[in-house]
Amino acid sequence: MNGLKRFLVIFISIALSFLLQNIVFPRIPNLIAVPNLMLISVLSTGFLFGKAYGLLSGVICGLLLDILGSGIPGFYTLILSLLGYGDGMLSEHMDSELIPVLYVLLLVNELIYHVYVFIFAFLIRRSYTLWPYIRKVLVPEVLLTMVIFLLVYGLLIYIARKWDLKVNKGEVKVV
Amino acid sequence: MSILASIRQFIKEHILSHFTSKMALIGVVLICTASLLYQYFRRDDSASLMSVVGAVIEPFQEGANTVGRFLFRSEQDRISLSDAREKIRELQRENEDLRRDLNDLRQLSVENAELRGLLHAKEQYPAYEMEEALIIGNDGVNSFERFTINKGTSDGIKVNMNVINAEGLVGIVTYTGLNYAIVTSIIEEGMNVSAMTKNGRENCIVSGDLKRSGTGRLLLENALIDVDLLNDGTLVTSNISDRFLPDLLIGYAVDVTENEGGLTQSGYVTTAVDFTKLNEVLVITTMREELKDEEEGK
Repeated sequence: MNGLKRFLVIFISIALSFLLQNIVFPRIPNLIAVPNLMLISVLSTGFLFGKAYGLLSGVICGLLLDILGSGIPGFYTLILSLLGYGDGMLSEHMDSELIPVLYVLLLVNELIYHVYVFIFAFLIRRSYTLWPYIRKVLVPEVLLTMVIFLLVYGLLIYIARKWDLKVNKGEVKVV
Repeated sequence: MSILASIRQFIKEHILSHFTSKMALIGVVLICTASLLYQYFRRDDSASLMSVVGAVIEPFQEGANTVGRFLFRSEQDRISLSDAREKIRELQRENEDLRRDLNDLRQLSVENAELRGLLHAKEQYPAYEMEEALIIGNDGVNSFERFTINKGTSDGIKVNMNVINAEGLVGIVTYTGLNYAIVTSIIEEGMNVSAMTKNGRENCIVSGDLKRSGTGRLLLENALIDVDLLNDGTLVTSNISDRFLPDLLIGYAVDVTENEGGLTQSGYVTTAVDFTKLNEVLVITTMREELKDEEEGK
């Protein structure tokens, strides 16, 4: 039943992230950016449960974003599944569980994600130059995402412990 | 339960053992890449699979929107705001239409006034036959030194016919085509009109001056010193002219000074016609020569 519970955790986290990202956050007035909760979900599940689950949540999140966001099937699915798989693989080979290391990982994820989005979505359409994209989209979103990340990751670990799930990285050390 | 367990066992041994996450990843990447390439090279804009899925998802999103509206009142404001914007856009469009109509009507009213003026001019010179003409081309930038009208030889227009409008003398036809004619106006440089004062019948010469082009002023020359241009300043075409019909209003003498020698005086003439705003003119089809012949015949 361990696998089923993991599926359930992944499903709930993705569903909540999706609701928050697409319905709740955009309706909060005067919010500069929307935190990238989908990316957080993919990173957290990949990091906690391994590459297979990372891949799975990446595919689900990507499909959701593709259907309701970009409208180009495969666009977000490709990058999110790759990131989820990569994070899962990293967590299996990494010894450190420090929060700063996680943040570095999140930052790297965000950068890869945004470089991908920028190159394929904006450069092809020639509608954005790099500097405004960095200033108006990338930086606010990364900052907000970093704030939210700890909450989501902590919640997932809490649930995992409560349900007695075997996770790759159970302990969280601040330093 | 044992059947379920055996099925699970079977799947685990015969399917999942051959199915690694790496393979899954490769599969996902391949599918996504293929899909993206297909999207990129697809030429037609037919509905994609995604839009079908989106149509299925739509009601769910609508429901989510309802929840969101309940949670965040500002969303309601946003909706009404967008409604208001739509309304504004609509009204702006209507406003534009109305403005266009108004412009049309204004144009019509201006045209009406001009035509009324022409009618008045026609009544003013009842002895002459006239042909109405519209100015269709202009040589100068702002004032009408030389312009084209929409009547030509086919309408009976000939060279040297006088052209007037409601205000007074405009010029003379200098070239005719089949359905157009070129009129040289009296403000053209080198255009000399023999004029006379309306009451005293004293002759003088009015000529166009390039330096004063656009000011509405012509040169006044060769007026004898004893002509009282101050009190009798209204100038009309002279009856000794061989090109212009007599008694057409040219303008009013201003700034008259005595010439050296004290025999003549000269000055300027303010034209009766506003040469910056010409639109419709009348061509007098009665010509000076015909008039002379008639007079001689009598």
